[in-house]
This record gives sequence, structure tokens and C-alpha cells, in this order.
Amino acid sequence: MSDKPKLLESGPPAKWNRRSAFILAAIGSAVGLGNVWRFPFVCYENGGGAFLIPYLVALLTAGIPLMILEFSLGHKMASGAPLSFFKARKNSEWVGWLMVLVGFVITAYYAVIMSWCFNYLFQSFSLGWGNDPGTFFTEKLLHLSTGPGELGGLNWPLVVGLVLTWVAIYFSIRKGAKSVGKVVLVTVPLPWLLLLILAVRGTTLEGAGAGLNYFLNPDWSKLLDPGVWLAAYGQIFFSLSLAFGVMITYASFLPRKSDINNNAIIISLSNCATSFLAGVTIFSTLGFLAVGSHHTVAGVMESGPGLVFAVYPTILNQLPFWPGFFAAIFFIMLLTLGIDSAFSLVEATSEAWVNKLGLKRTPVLITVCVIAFAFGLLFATDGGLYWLDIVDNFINKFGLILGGLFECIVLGWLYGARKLREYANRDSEIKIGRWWDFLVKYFTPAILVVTFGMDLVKTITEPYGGYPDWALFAGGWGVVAVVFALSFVFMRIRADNNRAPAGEQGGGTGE
Amino acid sequence: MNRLNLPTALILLVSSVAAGTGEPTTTVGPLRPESVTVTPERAARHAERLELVARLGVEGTDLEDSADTLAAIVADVSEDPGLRAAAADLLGRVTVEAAGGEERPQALACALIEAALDGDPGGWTAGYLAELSRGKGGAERAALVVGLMVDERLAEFHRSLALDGRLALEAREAAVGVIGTIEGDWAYETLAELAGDAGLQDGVRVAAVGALAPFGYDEGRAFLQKLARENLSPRLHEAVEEGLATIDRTQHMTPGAWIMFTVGVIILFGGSALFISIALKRGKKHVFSDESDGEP
Repeated sequence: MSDKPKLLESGPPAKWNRRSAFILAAIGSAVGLGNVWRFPFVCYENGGGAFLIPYLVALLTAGIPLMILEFSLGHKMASGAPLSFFKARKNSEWVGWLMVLVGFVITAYYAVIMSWCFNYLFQSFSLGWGNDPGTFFTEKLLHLSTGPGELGGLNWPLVVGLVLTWVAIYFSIRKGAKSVGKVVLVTVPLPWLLLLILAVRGTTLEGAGAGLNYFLNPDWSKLLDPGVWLAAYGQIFFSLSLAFGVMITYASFLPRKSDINNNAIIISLSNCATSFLAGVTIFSTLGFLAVGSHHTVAGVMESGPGLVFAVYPTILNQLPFWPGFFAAIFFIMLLTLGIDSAFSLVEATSEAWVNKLGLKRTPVLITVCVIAFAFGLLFATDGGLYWLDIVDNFINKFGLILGGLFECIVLGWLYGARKLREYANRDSEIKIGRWWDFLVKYFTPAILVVTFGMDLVKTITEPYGGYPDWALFAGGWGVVAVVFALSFVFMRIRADNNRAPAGEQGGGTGE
Repeated sequence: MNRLNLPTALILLVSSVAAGTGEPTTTVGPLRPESVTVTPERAARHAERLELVARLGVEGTDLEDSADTLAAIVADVSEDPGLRAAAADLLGRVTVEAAGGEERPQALACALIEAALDGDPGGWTAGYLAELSRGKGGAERAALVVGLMVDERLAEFHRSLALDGRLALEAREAAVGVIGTIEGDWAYETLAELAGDAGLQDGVRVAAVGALAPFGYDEGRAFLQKLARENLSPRLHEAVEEGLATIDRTQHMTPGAWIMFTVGVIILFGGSALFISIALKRGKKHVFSDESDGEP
């Protein structure tokens, strides 16, 4: 390579051709499987309807402000996350890499979860999971071994699903914003439509009222519990695709004049509305299952994969008509919900490397996809679920939270919240005031520090999931440590190239 | 935890025999352990076990390695009930500590069922299960313990708790509560059977009504409405009314739930629509463009 800066060799990235393309892509990234399998459970566990109050407060005081922060940075620096951070503050490029790496690790196992969805979709019309979907999931589909120490061989149906997932991801983003803009026209409205169909089906089933009551009946006493408020902030933080570098990357593809603030509000509200709709769908159908089997709704409730791969198929089995049709709708919905979250994470990683190495987009993208696919094979083994569980827990609790915290520190304190606020206000219809600086500099970091501290203490005192120490060190602390180490290593790679501006729109030179 | 010493157990045993004349005659299992001849070996084993249980009872002692021995004590029909209760108490702690595994709960389940079928003079089996169900994740643990028992013996177990002639009413009420935590069709049917059995004490029937209401739904409502028309004691009648109210609360959305539903819809969906309309009406012209019309 010559000494000439390489960033311009690849040419500036394609931009969104419509505002709606950007909004849909960002919504697609934010809305994922967690909206279906995490939000309803968190809501129910933390006061039901009363949880909506801390949830909305968290949305207004952390979700939307952080979204504006990331959009402003990405748009102003017109680069992927690492280069944007570099331009904001020379030595903070590692924060961008940290975000991208966290996203990359998550993509690797997220694609495996989508592979499960593919397998379930193939079984849908015949309800191939039989009368005991829980057993089907763990034994027939996953061939679950006895523990993380027993990896077993590759699970070929999962590998096939994984290949399909990665092919879909590759073709969705191979032309960057241009192809993403087209794909999201389908992958964002479609799951909404399907979710709406399932919500209508769910709320017309016997027992829907019982389920919705569990979901929404407010327990006001919970509002006095600080843990409930932290859960609300955690839910908002995890569900908006913040601190992955995705929103920074997507915003970098925006044209010069873009309404950053209103975009952030629309995307955040739409994400939360989707969660709410998913809650209505899930709980109304859980009510049906509970009434039919003489259980309380809490007795049939599960969160995470157990909800969508064991409990929900049980419900589908009992639907009075067209169970196969609704099963297919459900898993297509999950796939379309998941695919745009997955490819947004890959896009963030690819863009970071395109910026860094100045290579053409296609080879970088293929390399990222192949490496992530290879890493994902670990989770497609018989013991893969255990590793997925461990990695997911640690990378979210420590990688993501710390990424968000450092983001606030670098941008709020070192770069200057005021500068970003003024930039965000420049072309926005809705102006944000100085209160935003306070939220970004003090409030959100404080919440993240408390959350991180509590998670750290809990993880140290109660080994996660009863897994052996070696597994927690290898898949948990180890992965987090490697992600941090690589963030600094990547920052050092060809550091000189970073000085080349890449279509920067608002200035920023690595102050 | 329901600890019993020997004198207490004997008092309970005597009382139960005394009160047993008015009870249904469908006793399952003997009211007291078979009388056994105390041989020197048995006395020595008892002393050894007593020493072991006393030693293990010290707080902080590692119980894991002694779980099998404790289970053997609990399951030994001929052993002193007080000692068995103490051993079961300790065994319960092992179960809690090893909640992730299956070996300990299985050992406990076997011990419990043996004890229950043996007559469970102090009623600590049910008391223990009730205690287990009250702790964190207790319903799952109680369900696990009971679920580990084989079907036929499970039925016997519950019959022994509900229908025998012993006086351990509190324990039986607790056992009924435990059945409630298990939920499901079997639990519902068992509870409905208990609630509807005029031969049982009010306490058991009241407990059964209270336990079935949270998952009774329409079937439970019909059952309780039918029960309400019978000649019930005031206490049971009140329980039935409460049960019906509970069913109404669980089966239909409360006003609070409706309000929060409306709030969610208005703020989240209405908010999205509002800001999208702002974007469409006012922002379109000048907030999504650059000099090169979208392409740099």
C-alpha cells in the first residue's frame, strides 16, 4: 500500500435515496427479536401496565437523546463508528471499534437464532414440532448436549439455516444504502403487518383478556422499586440498537440536510410501539394457552427463545383453525424482524473496515460475512445453545453497556455535547435544548454506571446460569476481554489512514 | 421449615387418632409407623443418625455429600419421626442449593413420598412442600419435586394428604396450596374434587377453592357458582365468593389495564403518527437533500 490515504479509493458510500428508506432501515435495525421475546416479559415482571411509565420516561430521557447523539455523530463525521470517533477525538477510535466488535459478536449468534427460525418455518405448515415443541426444540432441532463442555458435532440443519441467513444478509446489504433501502421496504412493514394479523388473531381467542390483564394490569407499587426503573432503562438501551455503531453508520449515509431530531423521535417511538404491539400479541395468545390448560398466565410465560420456540408453537398447535398458516406467519415475522437487525450490524462492521482499509466494499463485506459465519458455527453445534447463552449474557452486560458509557463520555465530555446538539438542531424541525447536554453528559452515564456495577457484582457473586467457571471465563469474560483488546489493536492498524476525510459533512478532525 | 421433635409428634399422633373417629374412613396408609422392635443395631444406627443430623444442622455445613444418607433417614419408616423431620429439613436445604440439578430433588421426592405414604404423622411432608413453594422460584421447585414422583404414587400421595383421618389439617391445607402452585389440568381437577367433597374439613375445602381460583377461568366459575348453591358453611361460602371475584379479576382486563392499554396506544402509536406527519408536512422540502440530489 502507498502512503496515500486510502479512504477515498473506495469512493464515498451510497446515500439513502429517500428519507423513508433511512427511517425504515433504522427502525428495522432497532426492531428485532428482543421486541417480541424480551419486552413483554420485562413489562410483565416489572409492574405490568405501570412499567409503561418508567419505560416512556426512559425513552424520553435516554433512548431518544442517545439516538440523537449517534445520528449527529454519524451524520457530522459521515463515517462508520470507528472513524467517526477518531474524527471526534483522535484517541477514541477504539470506542467505535468496541461498538462494532460487540455488534459483530452479536451478529454471529443472532444469525444462528435466525437459522432456528428458518428451521421452524420449514416445519410450520405440518406443525412438525409435534405435541411437545419444547422437546422438539432442545432435542430434535438443537440436539442439545449435556453442557458447554460437550460441543458435539455440527448440527447440519442449523448450518444450512445459517448459510441461508448469511446469503440473505449479504444480498440485503451488498450495495449498501441502495440495496438496504429496497430490502427494508419489505422487511420492515411486513413483520408489522404479520404482527398485526397475529395480534388480531390473539385478541379474538378465548382467554385473551386474561393474558392482556397480566401484561397491562398496573402494579403501581412497583414504581417505587429502583430495580424497575433500571429495567426500563436497560430495555430501552438494549432495544434501540444503540452502541452498536449501526445508527452512526446509517446516519452517515444521510444527505447533508437531514432532520436528525425528528428522525430519532420517529424511530424510537416506532420501535417502542412495535414492542407494545408484540406484547399485546404474545400475552393475548398466552392467555389462550393458560385458559386452555388451567394455568395462570405466569405459569405458561417464558422469555427469550423458550417463548418463541417452545411456548408459542404449543399455542399454534391449539389454534382452532389454520394453525399451519399462522405458524408460518409467525416465523416469517421473526425472520423479517431479525434480518434487518442482523444486516445492520454487518453493515456497521463492513463500513468500519471499508473506512479503515480503503478497500472496495464487496470483498470487505464477503470477508466479514465469512468470518461471522465461521464464528457462528460454534453456536450451531450440539452445545451451541450454552455458548450462545453465555456469550449473549456477557457481551450485552459488559460490552454493550460499556460501549454506551464510553460513547457518552467521549462525545458528551471530550468532544462536547453542545457541538453535537447545535449540529443536530441545524436542519431539524424540532430543536433540542441544553437539557439534552445534561442527559448525555450526566444522566445516561450515571444510569449506565449503576447498571454496569449491579451486573458486575451479580455476575461475580452468582456465576451466570450455573455454568462451570471455565466456560464463563472462555465464553464470557474471555470474549469481552478479546473484544476490548481487539478494539485497541484495530485502532493501531494503519492509524495514519484515518486522517483522510471521507465525505465529512460538518467538520471534525480528531480534536 | 416444619421441624418436629419426638414429643410433639407423639402428641399430634395421639390427637389424630382421637379425632379420627369423625373423619372419612378412606385412610390411605397407616396412621402410625408399624411398631418395631428396637434392636441394639437399630439403637446404634439411630444414635449415629442423630449425631449426623445434629452435626449437619450446624449452619454453614456442607450438606451435598450427605444428601443420600439424609434421604435414607427420611425414607426409613421405622425411624423416629422427629429425626426424619429434621433430616427432611436438611435435605430441603440441599435441594435448594442444588436447584439446577435433578439428583437431589429426586432423592427428596422419593423420601417425601415414602414418608407421606407412611402416614406422615407430623404432616411435615406437606408443610415442607408448602415452605418450598414459598421461596424464590419455589413453585418450580415444588412442582419439580412433586413432578418427579411417578404418576400412580403421586395420586396415592395426594389421597393420603387429603383424605386420611389425621388431624394435620394445617399441613393438608398447605399441601392443597402446593397443588395449586403446580397448576394444570391435574391440579385443577384435584382441587375441584377436594373443594367439592362435603366429607372433608372446611379448611381443606377453603384452601382448595382459594388455590383453584387463579387458574379456574370459565370452568372454575361454573364450578364455584354451582358450589355456591349448596348448603355451605359461612367460611366456605365466603371463600367461594372470593374465588369468583378472583376469577373475574384474572379473566378480564381490569380498568387499570384498559387505561394503560389506551395510554400505550396513544403515546406510542399516536406519537409515531404525529411525528411522521410533522416530517411529511413540514420537513420534506428542506431536511432531506443535498446539492447533488441524494447522490454525492
